[in-house]
Amino acid sequence: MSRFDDAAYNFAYLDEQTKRMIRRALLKAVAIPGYQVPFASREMPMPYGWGTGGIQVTAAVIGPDDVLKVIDQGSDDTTNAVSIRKFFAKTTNVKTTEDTEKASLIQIRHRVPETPLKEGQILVYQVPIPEPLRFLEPRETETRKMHALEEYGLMHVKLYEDISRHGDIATTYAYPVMVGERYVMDPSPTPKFDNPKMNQMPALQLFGAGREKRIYAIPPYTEVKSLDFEDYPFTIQKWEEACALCGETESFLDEVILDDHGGRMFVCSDTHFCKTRREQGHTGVQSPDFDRTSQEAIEQ
Amino acid sequence: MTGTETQPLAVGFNDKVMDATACFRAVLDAMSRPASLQALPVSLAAPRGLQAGTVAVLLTLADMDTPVWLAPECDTPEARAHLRFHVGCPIIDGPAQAVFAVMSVDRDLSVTGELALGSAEYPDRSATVILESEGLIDGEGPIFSGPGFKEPRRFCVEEQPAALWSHIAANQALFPRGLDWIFTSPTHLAALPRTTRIEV
Repeated sequence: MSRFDDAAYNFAYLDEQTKRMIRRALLKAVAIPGYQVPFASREMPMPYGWGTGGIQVTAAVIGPDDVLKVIDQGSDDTTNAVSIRKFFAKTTNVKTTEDTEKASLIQIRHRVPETPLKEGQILVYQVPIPEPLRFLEPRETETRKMHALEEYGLMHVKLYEDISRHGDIATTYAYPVMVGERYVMDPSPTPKFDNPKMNQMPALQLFGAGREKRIYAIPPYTEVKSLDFEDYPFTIQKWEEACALCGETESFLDEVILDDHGGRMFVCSDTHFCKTRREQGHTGVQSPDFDRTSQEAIEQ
Repeated sequence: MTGTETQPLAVGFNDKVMDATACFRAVLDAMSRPASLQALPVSLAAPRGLQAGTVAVLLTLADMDTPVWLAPECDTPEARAHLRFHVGCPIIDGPAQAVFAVMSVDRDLSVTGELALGSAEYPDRSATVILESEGLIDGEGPIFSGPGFKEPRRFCVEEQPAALWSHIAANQALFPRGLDWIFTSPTHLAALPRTTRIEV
């Protein structure tokens, strides 16, 4: 007997034949790291752009013993994350969590959690446009050929033009990476801040693009290198501020507008990471119990 | 005795959905951590000619969209009846169109040269070879490394076939084209995707 008994849907919503098709695509994706495998993406009960690719990958992978976490821009409690988490809670009965360490399967949109991921965990990325060369070359037949011939000069020209125009590589998200020294890959619209986390990650990384009908993957412990130049090496974003709630200085920060007089604060975009730090007693400038005298003492 | 006598058919998955999910996770783990042994998460009856591990992989991944080729040593009437009923896959006469090819690990592997390797544009359109073994051995044999390895791992099969590893090394040289290998035994499975490098 299945541990899931809702007569209206199969376990994880998709029918078994669809799951087999996605599973075959996933295995080929893992076997060819960074290569985009075409798959017969299905209509899902939500519009394109809401993570239909990631949802299909999660549905093909999820088992009854999984613990699922879903984040949208680092947050567990935004609309997209809440609705996808509820979708799987309803169609699979699996446990859900906000705790990165307790999750076995994490579906993410536009952020990688700050907490380092472990062996055995699976990360599922929602991808809008899987082809890193698409804005440089609109024809799929051509981009296929460019990947086949490892002809990535155009991408370097684009980064070079960034430098000549802005004095720096201006790409800050969906920053192209080279996977396993072979395929240039779009890391999905995650900030470039998260690119170094993808390199040699102990967890398995799966990418699903529903509208564009592509699946790709990075096996654990695989080299993922952000494209750059010797004299313009890849760098990640840095902030002058610390998180206003937990005081962290090394995390990715979101700017929050507080009023119409220019008031603003910076907070960790990873809500679970920030909450965990606050529970451990860390404070930031906006915390009610923030100790200004000790902070000033540190600064002096 | 007449040729029309029907044999009782062995059962497939007890729970088609949950067993397939569990087996897929074992194959996914095997593929993303190459040369690591994965215990079969379900116990399965296997028809004469096929290992339980092979049956689990085919029940999980094969269907009417995936032609399967059985090498002569695996191609028994029982195996055909089992796959036709439980999997519903076309069983084809030659390896060229096969999505999954099933063969014994100690056979002459030159037949794998006839399998689809994928094209430069679509390297995913290649066959997956299921190699049947009496037993998979962890920690002995050639040293493997590549994507999916924190540290190199050793792995071999009980049969110790002489030409197996040179075939796998030659296949690796074709990357990104090439075959992916799944090893099955009555109790375990392991995999070597085309990315895995081998040092004999």
